Formats: sequence, structure tokens, C-alpha cells
Amino acid sequence: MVRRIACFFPIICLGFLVFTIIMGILFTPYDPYEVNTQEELTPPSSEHWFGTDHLGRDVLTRIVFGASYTLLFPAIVLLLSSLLGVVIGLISTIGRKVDLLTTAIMDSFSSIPSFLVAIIFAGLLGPGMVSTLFAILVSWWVHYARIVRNTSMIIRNQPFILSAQLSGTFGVKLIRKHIFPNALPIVRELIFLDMGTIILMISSLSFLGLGAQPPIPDWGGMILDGKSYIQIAPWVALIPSVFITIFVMLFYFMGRRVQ
Amino acid sequence: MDEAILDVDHLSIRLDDQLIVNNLSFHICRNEFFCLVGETGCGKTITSRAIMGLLERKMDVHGTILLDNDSNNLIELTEKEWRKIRGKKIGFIYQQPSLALHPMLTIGNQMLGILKNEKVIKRKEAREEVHQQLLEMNFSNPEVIASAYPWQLSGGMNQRIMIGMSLLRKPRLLIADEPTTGLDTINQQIVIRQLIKFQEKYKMSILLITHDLRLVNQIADTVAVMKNGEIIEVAPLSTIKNNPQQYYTKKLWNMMPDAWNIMMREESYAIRSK
Amino acid sequence: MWRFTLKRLLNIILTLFFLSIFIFFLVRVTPGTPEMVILLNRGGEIGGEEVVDIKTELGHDTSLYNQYVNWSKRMIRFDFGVSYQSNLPVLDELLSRVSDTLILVILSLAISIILSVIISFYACIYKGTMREKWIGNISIFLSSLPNYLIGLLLVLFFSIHWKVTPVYGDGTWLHYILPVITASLPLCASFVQLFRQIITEVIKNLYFEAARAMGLKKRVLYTKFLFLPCIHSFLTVIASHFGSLWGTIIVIETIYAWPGLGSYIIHAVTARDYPVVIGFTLIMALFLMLIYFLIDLLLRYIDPRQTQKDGQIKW
Repeated sequence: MVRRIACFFPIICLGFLVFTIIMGILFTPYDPYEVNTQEELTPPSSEHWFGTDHLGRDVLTRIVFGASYTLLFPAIVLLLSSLLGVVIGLISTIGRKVDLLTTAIMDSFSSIPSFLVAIIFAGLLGPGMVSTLFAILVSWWVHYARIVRNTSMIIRNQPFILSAQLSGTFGVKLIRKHIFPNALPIVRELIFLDMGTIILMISSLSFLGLGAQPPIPDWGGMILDGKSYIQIAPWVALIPSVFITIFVMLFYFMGRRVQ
Repeated sequence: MDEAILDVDHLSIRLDDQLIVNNLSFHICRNEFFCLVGETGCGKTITSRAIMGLLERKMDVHGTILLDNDSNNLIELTEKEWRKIRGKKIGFIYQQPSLALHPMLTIGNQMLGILKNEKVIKRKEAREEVHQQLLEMNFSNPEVIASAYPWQLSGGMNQRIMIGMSLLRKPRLLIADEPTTGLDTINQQIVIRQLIKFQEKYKMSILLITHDLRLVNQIADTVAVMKNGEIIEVAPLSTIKNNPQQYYTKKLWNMMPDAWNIMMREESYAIRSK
Repeated sequence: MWRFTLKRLLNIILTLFFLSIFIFFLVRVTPGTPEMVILLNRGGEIGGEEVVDIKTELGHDTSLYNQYVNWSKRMIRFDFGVSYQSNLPVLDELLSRVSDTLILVILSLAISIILSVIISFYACIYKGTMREKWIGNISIFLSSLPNYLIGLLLVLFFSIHWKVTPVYGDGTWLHYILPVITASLPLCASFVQLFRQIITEVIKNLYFEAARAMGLKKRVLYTKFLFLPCIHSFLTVIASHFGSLWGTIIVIETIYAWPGLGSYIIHAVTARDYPVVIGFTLIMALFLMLIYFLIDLLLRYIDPRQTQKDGQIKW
């Protein structure tokens, strides 16, 4: 029984946090963008639970409003990049020459670590959320493509594929009907496991000033803002990073459960 | 057949609530070929691991195992004391020799390691000894074998190497856990003949764990029949063969291919003559 | 062996070729051409004539194919042009900063490898005890901590509260402590997690039990039968983390204002300094691929089975 509750614990926590975030959006008395010069860097109090930042904005409100940028945006990015990866991975199973080409492309992308690719890409396109999207997309699809390609290769060598071929299933239909359904579970596991990593990556990009630009209340950006005031007002930087850590850990445990 | 080299007394092994081995008692004499026979899953392998002290910590072992008139109960030994007994006094041969050999070291290297473990020895002498041992195991080209990796050799070869390796330290008792399972008939015979040869040579006892009754018929001195974690009958081979006390023993013995063939043939003759 | 080496070297060259094409066209496709960036850096007005001048100066007025050929010829000679910001050769700029970063990378990598190997073997020896459980839980916790949180906390406590270490910059050995801890804490934690899995897998192998049954000495047993089979997987894990460590280092360098490659690249990236970014990308790719290649060679040397596994995936 205890084990059963422990199994659902991350999901319950996640649900609770999402619920509070929605409630916060609905009921907060403050505006996440409104500058209030009279209340700069006030410490946490009953009025401002998590204090205010250097422009006098309520940190709690900004966290609640920034949740969609920090949590929903990575989910979208991850889905898009896994889609791209799966498609390219499946394309590489069509034939030997296609496979050589795609693996060469995969190699060239994976030769640089994905975070560096993201930094370089964000740099070349200029900072902003769109470039973050492209950056993660470009750097992360390789993982999926490679896994899909490798598992499909293993599946391809299994006897049931031969029997499918003998009964007249070839080309796209073979991939769609036999290889893709068998490669899908691995991709699903990987998406859950990667969610935390992507959140970390995007927030790191924002922390470097390459992600969402101010005044968007993205958590990584909030940490960057608060970094300069760490000596006098540590809460401004610490609270968003603690929130990111909690979510990353929850996603990590959920990924382990799915596995 | 006088002195007991291994004396197992009231051995019980339990995992959680499940009794795997129940109240097992037998003794193995010097220079004896002792066979432990039983169907798969009756606790034969667990018993052999218990004698070697290789069971996992979560297994609960009770009883006494005495080795060679030594007053120490093997079950209560620490890992450090075990190290002096394993290999040195009791040798062990596995069912899957290809998995039981280190895949990243050559055969010669592994055998050298065992020799060096025993005594301070010069590399050249040790190598010579390894080659000698390989020659004794009927390998015509010890140099080639010594420089090969286990995954380059066949299962039968690996089993012979395994035997040669455990005999390097000349143990008094050799436990062979289904050494011929997975080998073809010819290799089975080679391995078994070598076991017999070395038993004669080193005057050691062998505990053979098997379900292959032809093998038992061929070499056993004493046979113990196990069923559901208990020994139901221990007797010399001839008694087991001709005058079994238990119905299960008789049934088991009749399962032997030759015996079964003869039985079936007699039966069909009987039907025909009617 | 030679065939493998040749194949891998060819692969590296091919990869660099693809990468160079990709980067070359990316720079030309993205909004804000190099000419604009140069003009902005010079502080001049964006007029028609000046743009044309710079275009001819850079050789950007010929066809794309010609441009690529000329560009790649220079790239092969490691001539990445001059930085838009400082007008110094890119290679010199990068090389002058690389040592600071390399020290950080090597120190944190070495510390986390040594620590994690010790900890994970310790955990595996005490399997099933409370200690092992706590090691597992703490390593999961630490490995999901973001670097900036660790960095900020360390700065908050050690530099601001206790005033033990300086906040930023480099110079004395005291400056190294916080960045190295920040980099190696999560790295070490994730190593411990993966290493523990690897060791448990090896312990499950029959040959480990067989070695115990042979009565081998503790030292021989643990080095030859436990550590040696682990090395292969250990090195693979380390190699796969070596790349991402550079990303971590960039974040750490910005936290501690470390005057290394990372903060320089971030600076160049925000200023759109194309030659620096391109040079960094290509050098980094070459460097990492060579490192991976060397590790693969080492693995082949250590583990003779590797030569067998080559033809596993076949068409």
C-alpha cells in the first residue's frame, strides 16, 4: 500500500503544483510586469510571500505567471524535437544509402554537445524564445533519431520482419506497420526522462541571457536578474532556482516510474 | 570408503518464508564419486552453493557442514576464512563454463593468476606449469589455448579448462554443478573421462550434481536422490539401481533412456505375444 | 585496428564537412548579416556604400559556391579570420583563454571520477544497507540540482556569509574551489548513479562468482574481476558526459566571472561575433571527436571483445 502511494507521489505533487499555479494566476493581487519603485527588494513577508525583485515586482506572482514559460514551453519543444527525431530515425531505415547519409548528419550534430549547440544556435539567431526553440530542436532531435534508428535496426533483424516481408509488406508500409509501433515505447520513456533535462537546459539558456528576454517572467531569467543582488536579496535568485529543482526532480522520478 | 571428507548435517536453507532445502544430511567419503540426483528446481544447486558459501546474504542457512574432520562449521565462517577454503580445499565447476571464465583475460592469464594466488612463483615457471596442466587436459596445443580468450573457444573446451583451472590448486573435494549440461555427447564423455582420470590421480572426492542418469549409471559410487528440497534416499549405485527403497527413485531410474527403452520394448513384446 | 582507425578518421573529416556546410549557410540565412554586425561594431551608419565595401573586403560578393570554397580553404588552415570586436585573430583569442577553462574541466572531471568510483564501489560492497540507500538518494538529489543553484548557494555561504573564498575572478588556488565544486557535485552524483548500475551488472556475472569460488585474494578479485570489466562501461559513461561538461562549465564561468573560454563565447554570442562563434564550434567539434576517438582506441586496447561487437548491426 505504501509502495503504491509512493508510486503516484510524483504525479500527485505535480498535479498539486499545477493546481496552485492556476489558482495563483487567477487570484494574485499583483501584476507580474508592473514596476513598483517603492517596494524594491523587500524581503519575504505576509504581503509578498517570496519578496520582491529589483523592480519591486512580486516574486511569487512572477513565478506563477512564468510557469507556462518554464514548464509548458519545454514540453512543446521536447515534443517537436522528438517528432523530428523519430521521423528522421525512421527515414534512415529505408535503405543503406539513406542510412549512411542520415548517420553522417547525426554524427556531425552529436559531435558537439547539445548544450553548446543550443548556445551557438541561440547566438547565431540572436537571443529570444524562438531561437531557444530552434536551438533545442536542432540539438536534441539527434538523441531521438539515433535511438529510433538503432532500435529499428535491431527490430529489422528480427524474424517477424522477414515474415512480414515474405508476406509482401515493404517500404513505408513495413516501417509504419511493424517497425514504428515497436520503437514507440522507447521514445515514450525517453520523453519522460528528458523533460527534466530540457527544463534545466532552457532555464540555463535563460540564465545565460540567451533565452526569453525580460520582462517575460521566465524562471531562468529571474535567476539572472537576481544574481546581481545575491548579496543583499538572495531570495530573488534562489526561489526560482528552488522551484526549477523541484520540478526537475519530480519529472525525473516520474520518468523512472514510467521506465 | 572410511573417512568422511564432507559431512552435511541437518542443512536447511530458507528464503523469506519459503523452505528451499529441508533438513539435508549426507556425507561424502574420501576418493568417492558422489552423485546428487534430482529434477530441476529441487534445490541441488542451492545446496552446492551453500557448501561453497556462495549464497546471497538474504538466504537463511541452518545446520552444520564439516569439511575434512575440521571442527569448524563452514556455515559460520567469515568471508576471510572462506577464502582459504574455496579453491584450495573445495573446487567448483559451473554449468556454463563460457560464462564462468573472465571474458577480458586470456586463459593463460587466468590460470597464472590462480597459481600466483597460491604461492610466490616465477612467471616462467608458472607458465610452464600452466602449459603442463593444459597438456594434461588433453589439449594438444597449450600455447594457442593459453593465449586465447574464453569466447573464442567452444563450450566443451571451456569446461575442460574450467576443470584444469580448479585442479591447479589440487582441492580435496571437487563440486561439479551439472558440468555436462549443454555439451554434446562426445564432449560429455571427454569431460567425464577427465574427471575420472583426475579423481584417480589426485585421490579426491567428487560431488557431481546432475539430472543425467546415464552419467550417474556410468560413474557414481554413491547416489543421493533429492526431491522438493529433501534427500529421500542415499545408497550405493547398485542398491539404487536394483533395489530402490522409494517409489520415486524407481520412477526416476526408469526415466533413464536405456532403461526406458528396454522397458518399453519388453512391454511391446508382451503385448505382441498376446 | 588500422581499418578502424582509418574509418574513424574519415568519419571525423566527413562530420566536419557537414558541420561546416551547416554553419556556413546558417550564418547567411539568419537575420543580421555579418556586414551589418561589423558596421554596428564600428559604430558607423548602415549605409549602402559601406556595406558593399565590406562585402568585397570579406569576399562576399561572389557566388555562394565560391564563397564556401574560399572559406573552407581558410578553415582547413585554421584561419578563422579576425574577431569583429577586438580585430585580433580568432585562433589567438581562443588559445589565450583555453588554458583557464581546461584546468577547470580537467580538475572537476578528475575529482568527480575519483570520488564517484570510490563512492560507488563503497555502495556496492555495502549493498542492502542503509548507507547504500542514502548514497543512492543523495546522488539522485544532487544530480538533478541545476548548476546555477549550487553555484549561487556556494557563493552565498562561502563567499558572502563566511567570507572564506573570493566571489569571482581567478588567480589564487582559492578561486578554483567554488567553480570546481559546482561543476563536480552534480557530475559526481550522476556518475555514482550510473557506475553503481554498472558494478551491480558486473557482480551479477557468473565469472565474478566463479572467481570467488576459486578462492582468489581480495585484491585480485576486486581489481581483475570487478574493476577491470567495469572500466569499459565507465569510460563510455565518462566520454558521454565529457561533452556536456563543457556546457556546464560555460554556466559556471558566467556565475563566477571566470576569464575562460565559456564567458568569452557567451560574450561573443551576444555580440554576434560570427568568426569567433564559428571558430569555436569547429575547434570544439574537432577536439571532442578526437577525444572520443582516443577513448574508443583505448577501449579496444582494454577490452578484446570490442573487436567482435563491430558487426552487430547489419543490413
